[in-house]
Amino acid sequence: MSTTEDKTRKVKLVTSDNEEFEVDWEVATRSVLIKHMLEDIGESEEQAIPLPNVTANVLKKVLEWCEHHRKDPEPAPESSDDNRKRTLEIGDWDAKFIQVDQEMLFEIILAANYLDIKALLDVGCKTVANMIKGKQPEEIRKMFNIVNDFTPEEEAQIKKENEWAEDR
Amino acid sequence: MPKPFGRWRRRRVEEAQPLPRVGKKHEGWENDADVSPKLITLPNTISSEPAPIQTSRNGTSFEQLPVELLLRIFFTLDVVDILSLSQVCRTIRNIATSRTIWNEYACNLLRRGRRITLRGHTSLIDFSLDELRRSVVQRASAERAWLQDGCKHKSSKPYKIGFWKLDHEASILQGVNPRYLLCPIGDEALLGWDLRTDAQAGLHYYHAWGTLAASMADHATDSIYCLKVRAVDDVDDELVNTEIAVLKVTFPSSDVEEMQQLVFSEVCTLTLTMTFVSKDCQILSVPHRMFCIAFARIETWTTILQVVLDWSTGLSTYIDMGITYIFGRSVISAQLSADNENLIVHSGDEGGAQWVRWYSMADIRASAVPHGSGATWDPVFVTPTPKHLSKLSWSSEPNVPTIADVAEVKTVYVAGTRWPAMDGIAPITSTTILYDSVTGPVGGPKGLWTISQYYDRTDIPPTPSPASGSPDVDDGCWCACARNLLTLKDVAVSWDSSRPSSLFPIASISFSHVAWIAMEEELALPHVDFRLRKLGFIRFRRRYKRSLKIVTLPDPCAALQDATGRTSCEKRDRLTSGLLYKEVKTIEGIPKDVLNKANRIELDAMAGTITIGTRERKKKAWSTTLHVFRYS
Repeated sequence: MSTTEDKTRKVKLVTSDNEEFEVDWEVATRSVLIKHMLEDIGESEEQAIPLPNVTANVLKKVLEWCEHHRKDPEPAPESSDDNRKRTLEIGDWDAKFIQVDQEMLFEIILAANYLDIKALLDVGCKTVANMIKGKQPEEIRKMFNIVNDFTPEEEAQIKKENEWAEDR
Repeated sequence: MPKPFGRWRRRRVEEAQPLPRVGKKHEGWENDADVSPKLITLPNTISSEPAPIQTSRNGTSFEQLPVELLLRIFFTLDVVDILSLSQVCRTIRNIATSRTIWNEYACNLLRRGRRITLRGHTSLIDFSLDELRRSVVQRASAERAWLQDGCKHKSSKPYKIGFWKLDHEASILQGVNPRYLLCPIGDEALLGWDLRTDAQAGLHYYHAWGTLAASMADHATDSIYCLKVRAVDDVDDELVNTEIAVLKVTFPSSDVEEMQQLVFSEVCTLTLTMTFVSKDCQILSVPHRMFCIAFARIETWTTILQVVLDWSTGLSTYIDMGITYIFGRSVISAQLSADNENLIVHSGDEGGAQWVRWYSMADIRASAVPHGSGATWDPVFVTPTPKHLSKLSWSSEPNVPTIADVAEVKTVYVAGTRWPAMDGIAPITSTTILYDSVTGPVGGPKGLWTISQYYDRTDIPPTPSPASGSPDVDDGCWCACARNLLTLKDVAVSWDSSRPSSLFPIASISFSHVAWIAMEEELALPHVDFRLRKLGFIRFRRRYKRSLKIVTLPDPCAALQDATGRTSCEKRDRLTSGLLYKEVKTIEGIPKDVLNKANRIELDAMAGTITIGTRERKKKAWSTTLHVFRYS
């Protein structure tokens, strides 16, 4: 689909906080959402694409990822999904890239989901999964600042419910 | 099973089973996550970073992520992590206890060939959420135990089954109800044993019958179907005929506390004018009442595959496969395709090559003839053209010797496991072969045992490659693309006194797990012979230390990624280097005495047990004892 013309083409993106980004077509179309929007508006030149769900600092981060992965081959079709379930490995660059505070991590995940960038979404989700892996309930609460909203009775009940599982 | 994520959104987690209070308080929680006040305001205790970059939102926290994203994260976790998550808070609990989650985990296990208890159910949908969860957790924790380092057995007490001698050629059967064992006793009987009360639970004599040739569990009826085979003399015709009987063994329901007996019932008996070797028959389908037998056609010495279309009537089709008959090799495995429309036969030829033939079941049914026996009966052989014929090649794996390279292959075990066919699960067959590649001198034990494993996907018919020239033959490796070879040294062997020439490795295969007893030579310690000590003689004696080893071969789904069933080397290597393993583990804590006296082991990956059979002589009488080691 991408012609030589596309390669040199620039795309303008406008974030929710009204900041404008100008990026290469190749970088922007890592996002399936943007790609489809560009196809919709066609060649009608310099129209900026509004991204009402993404703020500037998150988009900056996302575009950094897109820039690095601009030459990546098209993601494999959904059939490779089985793989996703078992491997929690993240590439070196991505691992470094995703070393951000939790809030930013979740924002990146939300943005990747909204912008439909599957590979980035995977990186984000795997990072969160790695954080949870092997942790006890109390540790998970502490890590994510989650308030334990069970009553003591409920907690006892849940514990009991899981006893047989641990026992096995 | 690719699933569009939009689907999760629609389904939400409507079947979640929250605690009573949760339902009221958190109704529609997935919509009001943004306004939940109590969760956002807390400071971040984990991040020691300076002030995070401010966002225009109020910040996003973990449990505020949309459900489909949380599910996406949860799907990459282990079952234990899900159990932890379910204890964190109400919101997360709702997701972690939803059917969506447990269905996915169940499918995931099935996809990877781990059978979950489908007691009485044929579909996951029929399960209650609680049942489903229980089954998945049980299976997953069994698997975890397998793969952990230095896993220890939980308990074992010796079950003394007395003078009975285990049959070397047939497996101890378990899996329908883990409380009971079904032990084939050397050419004589099937013995049921209740592990809870340590007592005999049924006995079925088939004295003078040959062997138990094949078995298949039928979870829908809590039973195991077996094929019994024996040779019978036809006095009138002076011929040796073969009698084959289908035996149904019904296990007591697991709900019943009291000990009950296994029920043995002979479903049907067929007499055949051919003689064949027991290893060459296989049950194809219990609900369809189908089995098949391979034997040689006397005139041409080609392989005949008798497909019994309904064992209650004996209606059969006799296929002349047109290949030279070799015992145990002309038909390595036979199975129905996932849609029951094709019979897939896997065979090996004299040159060591392996072939897969697809026969249309419609053709087979059209040529069916009533079962006949006796000297006057003249069977009708048909030679249907296979719909597909493919030669298996291992080209995807360099440096791996093919079976043809291995001199004089002696196949010992072929465990073909049909992965359960269910929605969204690729029907995969795994075949694991354990063979002795170098046979040592009889008595002076062991050769070099090799495990080879490969997978077939039965849902993808091979596409003939244009390059091959012949439209029928596909010389690509559409199946068996993943082949794993592992050489085992020093496998302990046992032999059957009635068949002095047959050595059996003390090993067992179940799904993709292989367990065996290894014999490692210890330092040769000086042994002082008391009679000779006076004269100053010291004799050196070899000492062996036995240990129980287990290896888990890679999962089929990891090996079969793309739609064509071809896996590139690098992809596979990446997969096997991570979670998937070809690492041999030693199971610690098995009493030395048990290991030293062991002459049989039986691995049951479904039940998470290894049964070790020992035989010892006490007061001139031999007795057999079973030790069941549970790992989950």
